[in-house]
Amino acid sequence: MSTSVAIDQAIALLANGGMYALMAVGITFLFGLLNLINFAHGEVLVIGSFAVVALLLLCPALQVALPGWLVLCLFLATGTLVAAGAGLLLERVAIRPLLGQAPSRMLVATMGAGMCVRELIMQWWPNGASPQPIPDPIPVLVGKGLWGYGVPLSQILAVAVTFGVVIAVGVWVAHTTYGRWTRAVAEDFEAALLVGIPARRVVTLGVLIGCGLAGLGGVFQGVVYGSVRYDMGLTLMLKGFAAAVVGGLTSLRGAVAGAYLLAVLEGVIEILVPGGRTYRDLVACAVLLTGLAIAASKGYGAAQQERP
Amino acid sequence: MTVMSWPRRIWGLGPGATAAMLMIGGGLLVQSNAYWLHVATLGLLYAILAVAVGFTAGMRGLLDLGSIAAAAAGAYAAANVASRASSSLLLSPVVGGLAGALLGVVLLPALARLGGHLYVLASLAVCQAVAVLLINGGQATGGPDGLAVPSWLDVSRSNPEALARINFAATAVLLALCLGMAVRFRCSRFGRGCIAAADDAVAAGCFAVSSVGSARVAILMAAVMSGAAGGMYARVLGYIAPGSFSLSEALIILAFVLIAGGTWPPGTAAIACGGVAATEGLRVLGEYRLPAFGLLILLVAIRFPRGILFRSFSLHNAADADELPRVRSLKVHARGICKSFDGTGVLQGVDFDASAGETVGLSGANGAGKTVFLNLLSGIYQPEHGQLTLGAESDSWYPDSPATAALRGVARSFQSPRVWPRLSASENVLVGAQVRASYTVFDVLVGSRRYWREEAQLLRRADLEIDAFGDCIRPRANNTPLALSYANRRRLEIARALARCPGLLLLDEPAAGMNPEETAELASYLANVGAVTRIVVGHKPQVFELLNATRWDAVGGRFVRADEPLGLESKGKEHSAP
Repeated sequence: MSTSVAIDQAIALLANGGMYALMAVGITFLFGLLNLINFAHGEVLVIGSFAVVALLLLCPALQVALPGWLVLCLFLATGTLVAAGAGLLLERVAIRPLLGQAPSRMLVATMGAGMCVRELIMQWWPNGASPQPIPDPIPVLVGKGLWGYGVPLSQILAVAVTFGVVIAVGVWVAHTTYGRWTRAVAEDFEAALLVGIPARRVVTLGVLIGCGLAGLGGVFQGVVYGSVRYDMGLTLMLKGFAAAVVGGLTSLRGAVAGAYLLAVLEGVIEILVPGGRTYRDLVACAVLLTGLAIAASKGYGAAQQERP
Repeated sequence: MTVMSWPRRIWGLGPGATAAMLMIGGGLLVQSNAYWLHVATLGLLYAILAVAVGFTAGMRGLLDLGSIAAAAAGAYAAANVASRASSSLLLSPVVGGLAGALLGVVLLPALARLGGHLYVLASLAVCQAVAVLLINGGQATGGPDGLAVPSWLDVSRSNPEALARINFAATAVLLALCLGMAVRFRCSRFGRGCIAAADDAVAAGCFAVSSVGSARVAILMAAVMSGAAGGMYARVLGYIAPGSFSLSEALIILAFVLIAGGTWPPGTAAIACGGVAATEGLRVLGEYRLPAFGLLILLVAIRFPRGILFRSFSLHNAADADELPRVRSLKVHARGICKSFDGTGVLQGVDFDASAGETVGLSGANGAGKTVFLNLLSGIYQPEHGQLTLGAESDSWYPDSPATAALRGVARSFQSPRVWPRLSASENVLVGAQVRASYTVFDVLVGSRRYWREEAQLLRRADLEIDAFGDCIRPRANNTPLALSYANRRRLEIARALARCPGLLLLDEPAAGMNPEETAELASYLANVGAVTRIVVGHKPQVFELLNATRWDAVGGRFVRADEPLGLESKGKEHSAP
């Protein structure tokens, strides 16, 4: 394989890994804090990216009027904030009424909410069933002439920003007050309340962060791949789960490691297996099933006693 | 005792409901045009799929998004067989069921040990993996465009209405068969076991219900039934595509099961048919039916966690059943038992003996290790050091798991009542009795004589135990045990333990929460249950006196016989009832 293709592939892998890492971190946050598997996480990502599409529809002159980097920042901000807002709505509707009850009820509630949003977008958005384009705000190819085709700057930015954000979240959790409180609440909600930690606020913040990260990932997905679909949330959610399971659904570092591992495995399968591109999604399914089997054999999560 | 009518014994619906179903079905068959027949057939297919998912998500409590994959396997298998080999209609559900079974067996090792959340994720992975494989399946699956399935009747020679009628009738027959099997399963030790394992796996384990084993049975049943439904779906529709087996469809079927509660198959089937009819009736909702379903799932999760239908029926008559043979009482021998938790020693060299048929009263301060000792005897914990044997001289054995203990004659009640809320009170006691049943799943599905005979015996056993408590439990025997008072729940636990006909009965504070009259009544009842070795943990000396029990005290990590001369401690540590 020539160097230029190798570098292209490597950057693409890292970009994918970064996006999966954002999903996985969000999922791990929600599971750690609420013991909740959020089946609407993919839809939050889609909402974030569709907010950018809406922005483009509303202000078509945006790309012409403003410099590229500002447009990109605007996209990221819009996507993240709208997704965080959607997360807040989800928390009010599907999570808060069911706090303290059997976790499976919250799970089913998020399933319903996610399905509702997904199908609503398909029906109600103009041309909802087809991919919605998001033009790259900085169509610059880095390294052209140096090693062949060159890599889109947005992809490199995706690698850098996702990596940076994930590191930032790790630092936040480890070193700030709210981060410490988050770890305490994840460990034991009631004990945290007793010690005077504003546990419900911590939970809300955790939901905001988790969903905001998902939105960020959604915007990058759109910018790097050029379009977004109403049902891409499902596949990305599956990959996020696969990555998070590698970290045992509780470890942030494990989730991030799992995300990059998944991206590398996908790249390897795509190269090694003829026609491997179509089987990329199977890799996530295989990783998920294997990770779950290993977790079950270690007795983790077995027979969770749910009192109705 | 009411005698069960024969329609109820076959598919769980009483004579009235059965007559109504036949009339509606007959009306549809005779009158309607092909379109409505088609919709009705679709409704019946969804009903079969919902009944199938009822095994995993309804009874066993595993939120199941993967059975749709078994349906897809069945559909595509049936389609391929129909195109390449025989196009007989009868073959399709059979081929579909086999394909579903194959998928289930292949995935079983990965799925059966997963609880709760993890199972949802795994089933999601299965659903998506199968979707990817279908889209990229080339010749065998026709890719994203799907496969056309040859009709089993030459369409040019008969009108579409006749075809639609026969499709409807065939699907109705398949639904009736599946419903019969599901109802018999529900009213058997397997169905009760699945529900018990889902509600409280530890208590279920003490009555020989295996968490993993029940999951395996539920998953396989769901896979086979979904596969059969898929096979029928392919022939009835004439065309299948990967989109028909997507995650959205899985969520819809799961929604039907959750709305109905999932533990009574005819109810689940009715909700599914009703759901399909409703989306047809509300045409204006047609395009938005999927978002509406999502909203419905959300509402149900918040407002009706156990579903809207909670009914419990028995299929069986207890009258004229033979009595099960009694079990020999066990003796207990423990030497030097040590058990600690996280470094804190609770039992430190316990020596204990109980002879066959003896009644032992074990008292002591809270935290002295009495319940821990009971858990050791019932196989929940294993001692770190020491020797523990139960049984007779020639046949002594060691309780290495709750199932071993239960199968060899140990039965117990718990410190706070652990009952299974989704089973009726009567069925809770049946789970105790069913430890001694031996019929297999095939007996249940086929409805063999052995199944009917053994279930009748179990029911007689359970009725005897419930009626021994007079009016305490009997009036509410068909309701959830949560409708019983605290004291009656304790009595229910004791009835459950006694229904097993144990050789060793372990009772953990059986009279807690009862007033002195109730305590005396319970004690005299326990004194008359026959030749069983009883170990009663408690704080009420009244109970021990009435039972003429040998007193042991738990003190300083050891057990001491209260009538032996003691050293310095604990002679005066009698606790009276709070």
